[in-house]
Amino acid sequence: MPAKKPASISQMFAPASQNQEVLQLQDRVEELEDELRQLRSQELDSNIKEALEEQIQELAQQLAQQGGEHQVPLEQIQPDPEQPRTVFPATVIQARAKSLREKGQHSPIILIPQAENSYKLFDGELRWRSASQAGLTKLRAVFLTQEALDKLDKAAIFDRQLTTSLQSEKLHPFDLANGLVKLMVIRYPQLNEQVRAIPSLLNAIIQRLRRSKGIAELEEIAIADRDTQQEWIEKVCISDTERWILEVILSKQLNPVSINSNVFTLLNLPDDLQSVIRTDGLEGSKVLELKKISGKNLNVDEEAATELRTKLTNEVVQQGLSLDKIRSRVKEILRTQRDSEQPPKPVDISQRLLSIPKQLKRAKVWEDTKKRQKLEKLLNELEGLLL
Amino acid sequence: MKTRKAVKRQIRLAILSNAGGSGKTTAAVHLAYIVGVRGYKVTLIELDSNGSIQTFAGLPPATSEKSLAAVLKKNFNGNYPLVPLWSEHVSNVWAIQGGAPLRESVVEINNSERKSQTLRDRLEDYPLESDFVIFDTPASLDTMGLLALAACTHLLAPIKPEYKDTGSFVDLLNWYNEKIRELRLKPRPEILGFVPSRVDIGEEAIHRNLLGLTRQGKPNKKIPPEETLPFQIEQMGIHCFPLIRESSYYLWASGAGLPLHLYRPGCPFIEDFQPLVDAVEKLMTE
Repeated sequence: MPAKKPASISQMFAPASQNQEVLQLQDRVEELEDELRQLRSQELDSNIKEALEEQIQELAQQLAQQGGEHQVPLEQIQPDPEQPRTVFPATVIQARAKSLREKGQHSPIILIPQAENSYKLFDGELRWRSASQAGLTKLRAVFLTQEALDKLDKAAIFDRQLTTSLQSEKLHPFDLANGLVKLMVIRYPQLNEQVRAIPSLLNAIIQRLRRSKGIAELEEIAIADRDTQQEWIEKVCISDTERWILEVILSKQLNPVSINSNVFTLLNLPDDLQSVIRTDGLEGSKVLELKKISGKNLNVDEEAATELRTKLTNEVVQQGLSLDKIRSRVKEILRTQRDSEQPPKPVDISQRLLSIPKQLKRAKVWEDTKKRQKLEKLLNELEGLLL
Repeated sequence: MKTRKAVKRQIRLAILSNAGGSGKTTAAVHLAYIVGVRGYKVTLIELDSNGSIQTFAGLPPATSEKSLAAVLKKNFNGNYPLVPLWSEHVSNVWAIQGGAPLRESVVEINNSERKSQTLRDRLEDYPLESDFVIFDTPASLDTMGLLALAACTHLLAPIKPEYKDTGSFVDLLNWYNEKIRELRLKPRPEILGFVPSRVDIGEEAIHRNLLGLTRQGKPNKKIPPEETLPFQIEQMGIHCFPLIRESSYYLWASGAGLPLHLYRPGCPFIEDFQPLVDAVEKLMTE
């Protein structure tokens, strides 16, 4: 009688491995349901909500196919340069590190596998930046393949990233500004040619609304449903460009007036100010104040202005100066710079002209016959100019 | 030999296996000693009513008040009954003994409000001043296993590479996957890894086969990898540590109430624990 073969190890493990997979999938479904619940509780317009749910379902499918959570070492993870959120102040990182340390990682980050042992972040940059401070060397992650990602609608993905950032954490106005512009271009590629003009285009709309007293309606329109918004946009806009710009801002339920004055003003900042926002999360209002120290305002070259600005910026960050303090410091810098310039000459023609009568009187020019004749001649010439 | 680095967080390691004689207490005792020698504060908590620690560390049996049973009582006030271990050699290793008094605790825990969360609650309400806490558990996953699972940050599973133990290990994995969800543990304890224990590849063909090794300890190409324990376990995303060899010296050392390091300094077998200790140190300090 042949000896009975011993049990197969792979067969012994098969049920456990299936079990683990099923349970991990259940976890993920629960998390996605959670996310959906949160999204549903937000007052989003129905189209966006639908698009979001579609995206999330696609995601869920993808993740199910991939199967399994992975522990990924932090050093193998790279941030996504396309992420709408770029501001990660040290204090926010510290707070997240504390919660990671105390409560653990609530949900897996989503990664896009690149080359071997290299992953790009799709979702979870704050957790990634905080993990090492929390004493973690790895993060739980699920994978999205580049292939699957290509199938997804880029605009919808960015839209979703922007929306979740808007909801989950306070997005810095700087990121909001760049995010909105990007979303406009993704939705309406025709805008790409006039990207830099978008802030001034919005400003033009706002000024026009101010004159026509339409501005007061905006607060309500911002939170109205999509149809009402569309109707209103048709009524007030005079070009497609304007329609596109307003549509994107209103679809995020943001008020164009405050976007115009507090958010878009942060576009096109000098590099040093952009970087201080990214690393220290300096408030938009303070940044705008610092921006006043420019070559143009100081009448010096940009390099010298940048040096002065960086010096004050460092003080602002290190000493946590208040907006008032910054304001007076900026004024002081602008004033001392002006005082140190050459003896004050009237700068433009109208000022020169205005100062002439006073000086003529003081010099009593008409008492000197020669001078008086010359003056009469000059006056005749001047009057001749005006004919 | 103190090489202590700054500790960033306390690691609580549950040594779990539902197979008897898989080297749980041996692993627990030696980990406690070696991590202690490196200068870290270590507490070894015994959840086993067999009370083997008393043998391994040469202690008298603990009374109910001086054992873990006191900690699990409702009226516990934070005064842990810590006993120093091998105090002639190390000054920072303690134990909370288990033993016979724990038999009553089981009933008490199951009747209590928070059941298997009891030990976790205690350690949260009255944190132990230790860098490293080890739970030595009995060879069953019932009450005491759950208690350890809920209270630990990491799990280590010593397995003897044999069929019965493999079957038990599969059960352990299923149990772990279900219980961490049922108990809603947050953060979830992680599996530090599995460690083949009490291995004798010189004498036992079955150890060689299940680990896929030759007699010399090299990978055996004739054995399909999917029929080996390390392959299957790593497939499930669990780390596989280098093996710990069987040696009768452990038996003698335990009889003397000492870790092998003190019983027979320079014995090559003691090196087997280094990878485990390194992994624990890394968790504590990085």
